[in-house]
Amino acid sequence: MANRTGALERPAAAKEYSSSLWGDAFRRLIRNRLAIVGGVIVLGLLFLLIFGPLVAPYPYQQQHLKELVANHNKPLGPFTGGFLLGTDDLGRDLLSRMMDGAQISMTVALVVQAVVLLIGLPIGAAAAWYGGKTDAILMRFTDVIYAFPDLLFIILLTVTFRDTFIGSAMDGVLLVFVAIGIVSWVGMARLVRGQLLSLKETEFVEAARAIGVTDFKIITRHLLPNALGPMIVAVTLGIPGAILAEATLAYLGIGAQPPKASWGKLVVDGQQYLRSEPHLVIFPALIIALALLSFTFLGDGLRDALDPKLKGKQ
Amino acid sequence: MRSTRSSRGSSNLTVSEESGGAGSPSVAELPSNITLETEEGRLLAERLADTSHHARKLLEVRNLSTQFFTRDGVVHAVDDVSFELEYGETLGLVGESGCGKSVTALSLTRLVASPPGKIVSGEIIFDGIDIMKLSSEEMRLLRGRKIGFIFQDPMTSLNPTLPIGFQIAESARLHLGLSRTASDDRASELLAKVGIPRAKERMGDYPHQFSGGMRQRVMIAIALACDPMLLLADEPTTALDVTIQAQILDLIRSLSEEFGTAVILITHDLGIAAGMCNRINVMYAGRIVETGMVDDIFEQPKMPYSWGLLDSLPRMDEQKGARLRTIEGLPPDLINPGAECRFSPRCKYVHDKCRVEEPMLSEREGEGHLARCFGTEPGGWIK
Amino acid sequence: MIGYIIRRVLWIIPVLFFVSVITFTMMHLAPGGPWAREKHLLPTTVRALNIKYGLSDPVPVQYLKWVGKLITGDLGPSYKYSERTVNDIVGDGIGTTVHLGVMAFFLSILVGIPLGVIGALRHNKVPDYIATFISVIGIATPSFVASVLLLVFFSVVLRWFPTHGWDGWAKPGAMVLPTVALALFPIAQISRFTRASMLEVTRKDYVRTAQSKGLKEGTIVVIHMIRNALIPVVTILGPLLAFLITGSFIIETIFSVPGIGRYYVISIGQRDYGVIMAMTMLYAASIAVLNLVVDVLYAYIDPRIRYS
Repeated sequence: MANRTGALERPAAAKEYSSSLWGDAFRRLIRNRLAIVGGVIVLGLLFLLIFGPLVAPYPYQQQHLKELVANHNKPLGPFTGGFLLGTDDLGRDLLSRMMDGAQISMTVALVVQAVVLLIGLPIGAAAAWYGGKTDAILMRFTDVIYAFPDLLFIILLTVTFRDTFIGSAMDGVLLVFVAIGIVSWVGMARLVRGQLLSLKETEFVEAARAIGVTDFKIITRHLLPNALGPMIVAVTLGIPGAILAEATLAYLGIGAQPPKASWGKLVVDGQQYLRSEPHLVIFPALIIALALLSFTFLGDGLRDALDPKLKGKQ
Repeated sequence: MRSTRSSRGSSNLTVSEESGGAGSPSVAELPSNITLETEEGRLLAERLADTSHHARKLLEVRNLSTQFFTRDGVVHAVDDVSFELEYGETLGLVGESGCGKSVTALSLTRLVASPPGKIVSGEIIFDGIDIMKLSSEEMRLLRGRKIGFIFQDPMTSLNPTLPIGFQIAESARLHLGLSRTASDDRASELLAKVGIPRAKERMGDYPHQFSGGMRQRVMIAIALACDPMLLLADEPTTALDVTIQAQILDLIRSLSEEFGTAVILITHDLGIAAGMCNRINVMYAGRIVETGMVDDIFEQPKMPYSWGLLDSLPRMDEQKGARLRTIEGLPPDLINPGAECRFSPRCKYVHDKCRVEEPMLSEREGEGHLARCFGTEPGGWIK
Repeated sequence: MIGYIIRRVLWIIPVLFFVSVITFTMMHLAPGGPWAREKHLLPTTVRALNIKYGLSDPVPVQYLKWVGKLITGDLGPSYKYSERTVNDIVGDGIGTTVHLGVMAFFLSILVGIPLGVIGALRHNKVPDYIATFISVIGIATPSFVASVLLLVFFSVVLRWFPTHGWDGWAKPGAMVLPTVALALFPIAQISRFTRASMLEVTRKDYVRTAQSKGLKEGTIVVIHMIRNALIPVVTILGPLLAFLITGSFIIETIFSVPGIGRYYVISIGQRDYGVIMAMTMLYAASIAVLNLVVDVLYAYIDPRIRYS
């Protein structure tokens, strides 16, 4: 039957779905409302990362002493004097400082995961591909690092190097990235190794080898793309841990130095005003929670979308 | 036909362990927190202790329909199925994957996962009790006690963290009110009876310490723990080695004969059905398409699907190198069954009539031999 | 299984060795040495101090002496408080820290597991949403944030509990907030994991077998399902115990609990390297041992591993 434009109508019953892995996964992801909300917030945070200083109402370190004095030298509350979330005890706009903290947290998240991939991926791939002695050595190595309690190691690293050049680079933030990254790559290495091990024995690898494809090409063109799914999930779910570690370190006084406004630092600064101006703690706390939750939901959504078997429903 | 159940051999698996004779249920058997909500429930309570027959037939299934409500539509898994089962009889439910035979068995004990499944209509009368009218508590009392189930995959059907002795003794303790020692004794006897060597010592072993065939024997022991009247065996040998299959089937047959248990054997393998069953129901697309005594089905099947099934059995006397015969086409979509004969798309003998109207089950030669086919009816075009 | 245990025990040794080397190396890499922050000292004084604390020996010798002392249980001196050794400091506070940790542990199990089980059994209904909500909050909230918020709400606003003043069972009220704050994350993790594990178990064939036997729902849940569901949950106990140990730093600091965690934080700020090194080793050793215990427990409760 032809409609007016002359094109043929398709039979109504056939539903057309692209059956690619990513297409299916994307569709499943869209259906997950929590993941969408998380994704939107993540995008917002990334936006802040890039455009933060442009959209912040004030420079984060600028002290508005006039207003402070006018308020009896006490921090201003929300919605007063042009400061949407109020100011801290040095007269600095809280919202702008939180945005600066967003920059720090998002940088930590991305840089740490980059480090994790840069170190973990090759090591895991090498262990899986070469097997035997290489695998054994690398895995023992990762076992030992794995056994070292994370936070402890990070604290040790930052404490050791904080007075060095690295420690003061980028106001102390660089050291934090490196420390967290050094501790975190182990999980990724294990994941990559596990994925590649199970794929290594499949027939298409044998076929590729038979044709004479180089090892490197096999790994990068055939094996890694299949492991991509779990890797994406691991990266996304690893970000809350990195953000949390950075905030905890800032809380302990390690890492970002003043006047930089890491979220953890904001909390510790605001603690003393808990009774009188609780907003100094509550707002940073909320944004931390929001960021952690967003990445977690997004990561969970990605995992469910890429491997619906894990979810347990139909 | 067997006589009363108490005339068994010298083993301890006799009625005498159960307190109370025919008639009133003993306190030990009916947990005190069960309230018998329905008439049927009260009837059930009387029956639970009693082992004599109370109806003409053990099982009467009439117009059973079970459907699954899914996102893609309503799946008519079991569509208007009716059959009967005598006490002590072995009935085969034969058909390919997805024809509804497993769902039928699950429906009999109301074990269909709900949601998304639901028994939407029909009657199931078991030993004179209307199963659909029981409350869920009352139904639970029936399961294990009067109806035993053997599932397909012995690897996953046993709880890996509990010793097998416990898993067998569990129902005896619950349904028969036996003490721990008594139920353990019973369990080890059952274990010996199903052919596990050194049964008593192996009571404390875990499922992973047994091979597949042995695990299936354990499943059989579990199913028979309370001496049920009916055994539902859902593809009991499909997951097993061919060499073990025969042993398991023999075991089921000998035990069911010994205890007078009726068996519904579900399988896709006609050869297995032939060796075990008195009668056979052939199912296709949620319907029964032929039913009859085993000899009639094999010697004079009257439905093209049955011919296809028989045909596809590899035979010893065939020419070497001949292709295996298959039934062409794919199983039907159960979501929107039309009004036509469901086998018509794949049938070699199809006529226009088949594509428009679905045949009813009508009689053929042989006792209780019915088939659902226009072509083989008297006056039809297939001779 | 005995072989498994022995191997795991032996494995701790290289791990601790590695940890000790790293710890020692890093402390000695830190510029300035332990006296750098003091008011300016005369070189002679510095030299005398170095000799007194054995810091003038060649580094490998220092390391060996240090490890030797550690093995005999001597944790070394504090560089800040010359009359106290680390053993003194640890002895003072460890009881408190362990007390807090154990209480938080039990709280997290007693709350986390039922929450996860209920969430799974009432999947996608109201109890599930509540359980999931609680666990989500626990995961999204860093312990320092949670502590501060708990303080604001329960101490300052409601005045139900004091803000500090831990004194063990002598002051039960002061134990509540620190324990809850420390247990929040473990509760969230345990409940999430238990829920996921229970949901998996729900779909298993042996559950259907149990139903076909006519067992009561309660029996099926407790005897058949929970047993199997809890086994994977044991695997996260290791990291959780590690969390309880490292989390104590922050909790003790915020709530002024006189344990060794708080002291650890202080010595980091004061750059008291003796304390930092020794306590790091102590923590690492404890975590390694606890992980071992958890692994053995796991091997024990899963019959498939125990009898293989």
